[in-house]
Amino acid sequence: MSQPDSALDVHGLGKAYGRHVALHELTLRVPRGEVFGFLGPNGAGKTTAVKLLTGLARPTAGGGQLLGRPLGDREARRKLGFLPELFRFHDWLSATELLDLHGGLLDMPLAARRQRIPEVLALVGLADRVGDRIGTFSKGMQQRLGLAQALLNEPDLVILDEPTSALDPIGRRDVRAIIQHLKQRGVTVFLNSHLLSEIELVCDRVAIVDHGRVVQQGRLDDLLGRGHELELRLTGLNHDVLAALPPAWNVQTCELGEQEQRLVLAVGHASDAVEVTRFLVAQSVGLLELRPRRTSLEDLFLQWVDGARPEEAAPATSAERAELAAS
Amino acid sequence: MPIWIFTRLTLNEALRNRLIPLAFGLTMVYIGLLAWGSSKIAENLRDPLQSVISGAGLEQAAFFLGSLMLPLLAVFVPGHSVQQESENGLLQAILTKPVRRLDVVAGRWMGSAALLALWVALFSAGVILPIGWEIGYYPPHPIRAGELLLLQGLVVLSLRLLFGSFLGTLASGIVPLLIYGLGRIGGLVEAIGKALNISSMVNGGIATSLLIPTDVLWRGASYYLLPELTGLASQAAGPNNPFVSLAPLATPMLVWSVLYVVVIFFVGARVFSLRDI
Repeated sequence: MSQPDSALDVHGLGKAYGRHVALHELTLRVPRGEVFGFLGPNGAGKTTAVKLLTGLARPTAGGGQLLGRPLGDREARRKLGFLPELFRFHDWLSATELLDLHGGLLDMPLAARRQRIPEVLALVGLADRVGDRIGTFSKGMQQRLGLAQALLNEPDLVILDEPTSALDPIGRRDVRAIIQHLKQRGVTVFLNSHLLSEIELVCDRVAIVDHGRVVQQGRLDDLLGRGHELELRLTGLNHDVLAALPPAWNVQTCELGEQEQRLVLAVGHASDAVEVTRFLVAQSVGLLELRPRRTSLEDLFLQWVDGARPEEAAPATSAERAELAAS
Repeated sequence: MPIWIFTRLTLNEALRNRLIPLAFGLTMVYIGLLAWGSSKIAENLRDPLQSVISGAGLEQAAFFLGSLMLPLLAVFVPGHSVQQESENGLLQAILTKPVRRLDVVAGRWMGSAALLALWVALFSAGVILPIGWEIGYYPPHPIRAGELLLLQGLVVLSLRLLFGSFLGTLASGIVPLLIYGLGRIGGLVEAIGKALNISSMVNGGIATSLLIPTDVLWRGASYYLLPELTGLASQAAGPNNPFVSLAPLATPMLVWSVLYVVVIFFVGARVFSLRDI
């Protein structure tokens, strides 16, 4: 059963082309109002998944709901915005004509189209090219126009498939700002991207897909939060102090040199640094340097995708990896 | 209504696409040449009977060439390879809007059909009027001839739609033309079979016409361009001309041709509706 607060809710969604399985049993839920990052290496099945979600392709297994209606349902598409990875439009139309065409397909009345079209063109930074033929647009401008058509109907759910692939750094920043603006307005955004830094900056929740399977999913804070570490350079650290460390702080690495000592602690949260500092000062340990180390999304991604999969009994957390590295 | 949006889109695309204005322009050149030729023929005509025979002969020859041009126009009108449009990504943003795929193909088909109808009307008027003015011959049923000519174009258009739902632009244009050529050969085999009284050739021709009724539609159109008197008609057509018919199109064949267009259209639309984009 789909939950009413879900923009997307799919169970066991699969797609096979003959014997080739492009997507295995995708199960995920995207709560309304969140920005959801869908990550994976090339060929992982991301675009296949997006095509199944948007009804462009039919699943060979499983199913689900989009905005409370079955996948592929025509009515659900009224409140869906979609920017395809392979964006291409009728290049003989002008930007305004194209949006008018799409507005017509969305059943938007003429007055609403006239009001909304200049708004979305301004939002994506194309206000000065409204009457120009799309054929004269650069790739980046066409991608901006694609974003404009995805936002035309003030959708409840926006699916963006690699929305910044043709954009320069300024364009990427603009898209991030638009995503954040959408989030503030309560719009759900499903962001399919392999740009991890982009995902890390805007997403609340992520799923990592590889070889057609979801290998990890959850709230980004939870996934990254597991790996908070503090790297310390100290003087006066000894075995007695180490023994007195609260059990919540796990020693990952400890090098007890004569002049100075190096210590890596795994802690619950980055803010635990304050407590750690207080403790060390109370124990008369000199603090030369304290550097918080947070597992980046890239670490997490590589951990799950780059040859270290659960079935290979690889370390699941950065803490375990650090332990291995230290040993 | 999304269906009209796609009809309008197809017509707009055709107007802005250089191919269609060029095709219509060249048709006008063809008509101009025909009018000039008609005036030259008229200068050498002595009696009214000769005018009828020459006028009708010229008319059916001009329409025969038109019946060859129309299928080319039908396969080259824009927007009929959905395979191509799905490969290049054009359809992705469109089909994720609240539209039915049937609306997309029906709108596209109707826009193209309107263009073909416009072309047939212009072409027919452009051939019939100058010959009438210069030579004095007007065919007995020009509208019926135009309708059958158009139906021939719609058969090719529907085939284009069907093959365009799974083949690329070039292949989906060439295959209907090859099938159209097959129809022509079948018609020729049937006409020669009739002339030589070889029933197997006649049956082979009929079977081909069931498979692709374009040639039989052309023959039906040619009948309405010739004078109603059979003696005059056979003189105007030329002795044993295998490309024209001196008898009207049989009603069952007309019904089959209309059904053929409808069935091929819906099969094409169904293939498109079921395929992954």
